[in-house]
Amino acid sequence: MKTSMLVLFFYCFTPAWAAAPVDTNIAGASLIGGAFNLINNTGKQVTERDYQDKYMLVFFGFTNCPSVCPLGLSRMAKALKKIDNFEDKITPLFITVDPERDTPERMTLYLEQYHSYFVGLTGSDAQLEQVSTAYRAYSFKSQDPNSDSYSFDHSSMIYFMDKEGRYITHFSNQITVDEMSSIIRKNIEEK
Amino acid sequence: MITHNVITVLIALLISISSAAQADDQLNQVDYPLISVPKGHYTLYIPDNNFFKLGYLEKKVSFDSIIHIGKFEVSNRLWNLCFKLNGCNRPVMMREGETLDSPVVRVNWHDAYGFSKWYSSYTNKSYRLPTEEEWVYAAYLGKDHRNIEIQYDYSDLNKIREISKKTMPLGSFKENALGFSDYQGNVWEWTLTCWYASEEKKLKEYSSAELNTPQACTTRIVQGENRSHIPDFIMDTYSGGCATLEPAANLGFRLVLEEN
Repeated sequence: MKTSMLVLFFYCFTPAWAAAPVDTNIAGASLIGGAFNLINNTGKQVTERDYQDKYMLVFFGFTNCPSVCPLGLSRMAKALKKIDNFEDKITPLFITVDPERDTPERMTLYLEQYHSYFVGLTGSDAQLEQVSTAYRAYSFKSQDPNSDSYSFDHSSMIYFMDKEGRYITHFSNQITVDEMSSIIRKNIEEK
Repeated sequence: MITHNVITVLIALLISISSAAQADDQLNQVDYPLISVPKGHYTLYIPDNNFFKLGYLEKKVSFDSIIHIGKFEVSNRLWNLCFKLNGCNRPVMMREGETLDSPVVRVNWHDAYGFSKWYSSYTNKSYRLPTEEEWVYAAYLGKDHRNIEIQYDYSDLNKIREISKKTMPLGSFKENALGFSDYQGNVWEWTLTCWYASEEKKLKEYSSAELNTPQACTTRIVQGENRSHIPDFIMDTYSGGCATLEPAANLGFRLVLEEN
């Protein structure tokens, strides 16, 4: 393991594991997703049932995230804007991994930069761990030993879920905005 | 009508016998060679890195019996046999220039786990993925593996590898002293070991039986040219934006044979 690589890694920090779009036939697909009980960015308690009349795009991140989250959310917003009246068909969800700093108010301000229709979700540590496990996502808090500063190592794919909350596919930073919107549109039109 | 049914049954029987014979032939072609690693002990250095520090946790590991680990990663040929016999859900996806003798890639942890179950059933033996402890022990021969790179003779292959993510035939990346091939080729390998955030869980000893189930966790350790943790449904990795160290060019796996 080369030290130089490690330094590069932790300078940039957030690993962005993801994959090219795949069909729902991947092994383990049925294990992705599930019930959750969280607080949205207006302060209301919500569950997965509140979003089951529409498709969902789900992203795990935090508002202090320096690069991967802005990139992912920006691409989500651009892809959605290419779909006519997406607000009637899809709910984009941002689930924080940093409930300490990401209050509902802070998430509202943050998400409005991308689109006012984005929904921020937070909750207790246990609630967030439960939803993270359900989506087979991960996060890890890194505390600066010399200050109060901290950051997160977290997975960064965008999950595309159907109206019943079942996994369809996921998107990485590798896929173009046009490809992402095309896959979303195709699935919505076919169902 | 009865005659027609008899003929149909006979044809089905012949097809079945033919398929079985063909599968037996294929099994001869897709033998999975193993190397026995002697029992012993060593220190596993687990990267304990975050945004603010670089370091390692030290985990004492001992093996009280011999470990039988695949000399190579599982090949496209072996995966295709699994597919043909309905053990795997799809055929291999090869890029131009790749062959059946290359390692199977674009597999997630569940694919690798499912294959190990199928191969166990097919051979009537007990195969599974290696734990990280086993993988590192066999790859680095129990030596200090911090900040080192296995000294393989890549020769011209290194240049090829630098410009291509395509897999090379099994054995292209040479052998280590125990005879294992391709431990640091351009395929990173799934292990049974779970990724945990807490230091306590990172250092805890888990049996292979505890880990050898999809319910054990959702993010697994991948070993190869470097080490990483990857959600278990991911089939490809990449470097995007402010991303990882050298990412895994491909995800594949090798197997361990349990003695009992």
